[in-house]
Amino acid sequence: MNKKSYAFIACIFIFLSNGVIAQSNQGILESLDNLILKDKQKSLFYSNFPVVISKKSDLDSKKYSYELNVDYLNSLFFNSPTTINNAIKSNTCTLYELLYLNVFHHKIFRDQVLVNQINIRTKQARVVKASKKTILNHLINTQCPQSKANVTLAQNNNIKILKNYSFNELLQSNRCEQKVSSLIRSQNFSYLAYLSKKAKTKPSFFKSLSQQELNGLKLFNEYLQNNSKICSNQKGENLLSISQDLLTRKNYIIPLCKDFYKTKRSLKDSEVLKCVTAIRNNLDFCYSHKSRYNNAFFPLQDCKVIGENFILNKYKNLTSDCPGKIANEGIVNAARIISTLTDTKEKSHCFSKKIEKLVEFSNKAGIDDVWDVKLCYLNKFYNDKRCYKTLFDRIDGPLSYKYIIEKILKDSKVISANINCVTTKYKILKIGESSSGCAIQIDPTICSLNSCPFSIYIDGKKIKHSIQLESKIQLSYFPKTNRDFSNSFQSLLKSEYKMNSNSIKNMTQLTKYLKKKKAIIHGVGCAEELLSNSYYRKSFFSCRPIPFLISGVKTDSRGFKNALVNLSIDNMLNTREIAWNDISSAISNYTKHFGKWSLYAIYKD
Amino acid sequence: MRFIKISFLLTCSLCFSKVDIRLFNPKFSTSQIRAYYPDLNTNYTQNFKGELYVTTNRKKNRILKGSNSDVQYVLSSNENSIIGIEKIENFSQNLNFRKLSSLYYSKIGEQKVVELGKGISLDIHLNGEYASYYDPNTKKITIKGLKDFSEKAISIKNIWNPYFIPTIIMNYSKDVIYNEYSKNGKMIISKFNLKSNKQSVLVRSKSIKRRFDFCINHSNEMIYVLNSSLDTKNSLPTFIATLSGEQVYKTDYKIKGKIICNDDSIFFTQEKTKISNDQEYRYILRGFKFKTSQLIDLHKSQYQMNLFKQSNTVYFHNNNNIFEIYNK
Repeated sequence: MNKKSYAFIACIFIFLSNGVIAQSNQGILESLDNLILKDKQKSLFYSNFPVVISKKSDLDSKKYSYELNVDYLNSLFFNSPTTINNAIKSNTCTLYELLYLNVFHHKIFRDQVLVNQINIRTKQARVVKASKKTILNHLINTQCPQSKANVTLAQNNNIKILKNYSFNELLQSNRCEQKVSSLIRSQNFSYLAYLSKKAKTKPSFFKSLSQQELNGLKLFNEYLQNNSKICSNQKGENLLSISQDLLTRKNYIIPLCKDFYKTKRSLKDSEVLKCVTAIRNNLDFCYSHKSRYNNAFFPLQDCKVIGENFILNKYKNLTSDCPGKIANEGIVNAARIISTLTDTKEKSHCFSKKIEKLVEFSNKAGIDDVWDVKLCYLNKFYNDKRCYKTLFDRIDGPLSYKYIIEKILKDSKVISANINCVTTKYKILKIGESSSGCAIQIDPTICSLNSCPFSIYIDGKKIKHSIQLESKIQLSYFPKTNRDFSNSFQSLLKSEYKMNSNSIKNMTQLTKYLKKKKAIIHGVGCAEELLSNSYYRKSFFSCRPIPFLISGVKTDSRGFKNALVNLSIDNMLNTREIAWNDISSAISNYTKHFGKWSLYAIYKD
Repeated sequence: MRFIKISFLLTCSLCFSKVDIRLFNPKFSTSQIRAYYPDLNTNYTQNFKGELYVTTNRKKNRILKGSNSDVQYVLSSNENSIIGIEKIENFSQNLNFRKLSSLYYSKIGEQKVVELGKGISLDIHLNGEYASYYDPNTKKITIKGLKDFSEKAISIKNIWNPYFIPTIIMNYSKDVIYNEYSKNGKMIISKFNLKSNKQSVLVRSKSIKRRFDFCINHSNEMIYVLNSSLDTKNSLPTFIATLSGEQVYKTDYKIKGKIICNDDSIFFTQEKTKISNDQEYRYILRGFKFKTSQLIDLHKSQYQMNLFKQSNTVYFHNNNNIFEIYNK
């Protein structure tokens, strides 16, 4: 490889990228116009040049050496797709091959190339126009002997080589990106690019390929024609490709298939494949996924829609949960936000780890009564009320109902210190079960994290008790007045995690903030606009507020950009696509009561 | 009633020329309005302090007060005698979708307000004879007789959707008609008769992904049922039919939101979900006159139009405006 050409090409790239792409002031459009104009002028200037080198003998290789001319290279890269420019990088040999195979060509000089003809002895150079085939043959022979292999392949129209490259993998969302990189890095890249162009223009040539491979080949051509998004477009093609996205597979597909098989054990890959294939023919299966026992708003959506939206969802660590078990949607949304910021892994289905984190966060921030759920009783010996904090869905441990009720019974001397209580969900105790001893009867299907009726049986008989659940759950979500400014959840988030906030008033702002890695978009809007098929307006401005998160953007079949929304009353798994107009209507109506615009991005710079 | 299958837009400006929409412009600021009765010279407004006022013949009186300014009043009435008032306290500070509101009723225009109980989604039926409301925590509908002081609780079946709020209507045979979920998650419309205390199922949905909405036209005591798909991807047909199953209107475009029966028409909004070159609008407001089976387009918009009825007028919010449907 000629060091001079290498240096030239490197300089061109630096020049181009700094001059054209990196500027971010108002002059960029003007300077771009100027560049285009200059380029046109130069091309016109050079087009008047006669073709000096048309056959091999014109080269006089003993007297002259050759390299591609700077102006020609500038113009070539300037007018070419970024994708192919990036694929070439500074590899001169690849450039020669691509030019030779006609995959890469100058807009105006199609069959000619401008080269510097350098006198070997005097080192003097002049620009000459050469016939493309002649000069490139020469350059490849003298500078890039290994490139001959790709030229030979093209001359022989060898398509057997495609078997080594598995182009069908471009159609798989989890393989696509790696596939594109490996194709570009391969030594046959220029020939593969040539074939991909041919697949578009003469698909009949590829009869021996499978449809998938041919589609993959065509997709590669699209990539080289400047569509850098071919891989992200692959995601969500169908449930099978959705299931190959790693995080989607782990957090959505596998729990879905466990539901499908009605099992809790881990599944083999073949079982997952079987399940996905079956669900593909029954997408309605997901309308009621994890829906019994009033866990969340019902119905959900079909399996493919949930999967597609999951892949585009920014908050991927959030899994299926049960907002129906918590009597405050501000808390549900807050718990989801804290969970995302602290990357909490939820083990149980219905929430408690998220709530714990939220309680921790609010205690640390100096607010005690965000989640104040306790079991209280009247202690007869001291004649006072005593309370103990509880988190219902703990089966064991100091926060569980079982532990606390046992403790209370022991403190009240109803049972002796060495007795343990069993828990049961059956209304009538089974024979043999605690006909002596202590049993606590709770039905988990009607319990929520802050409300759970229970009965206590001692020696088989139901006893009266004074144990009451007291719960005070409140969270000021957005600040309404200056007085509660510092107490509101939004303000706490900003101070604890050193984040900024910005209100989101349009789709452009939304897209901008969604791109920031640690940014979270949250808001409160009226159910009458967000879920107009379930909640109806009753009078002027009537509004049922629902907090929500915005987790992405999706383009619908009509080309409209819609927001992807996680409502606090929905299972986190069920991301909905809602038009921006509907979101802004929802927020405007809430604002009529609340007084302030209620959609914000919180982010770190 | 003739069976009609309509699959194209039918604009018949001559036959239905009596109905149109106009901006709601009652000659005073609408920012705090809660109810409006021009025939009775009465309106209800809420101020920034959380107080509810009634203004009759230009005399303004306070009728309810919240414990702080964070209150929302939702007023409901279908006719001109009694108005129902739902007072939602700590509206923005306690974001609990299922929290119970304080409920009251009052004779329209008067200052006296009577307490009803606690619940949500208050409705007044049969010209002020009954009030209905719902408790989403116990899943019970309460029907209170405002003249005979009776009280009836109806439990609804629902193990699926903790946030469900049933639509409740009544007819003069003292049937309470409401929707609920069957064991398999499909929506059903049920009836409970106050005289016989008997409950029965009227309509069953064939699929989990279809919803029912319904309204009653008291001039002929006919109940119209909307059966619409919730499927966002596929365009499945939407129907409006009478309770006895007679189809009145069928369309491939989803009907979004509530259907409203008023006079002898049904009003609804359709959503354009198919790809088309006509990108002027996304939602279209239409009226269907069931006597003459005529369909008319009233308004097109990129924004939702959520219909509600008050007294005998149908209104809707659209972007930042309020419109009313009126007879020319």
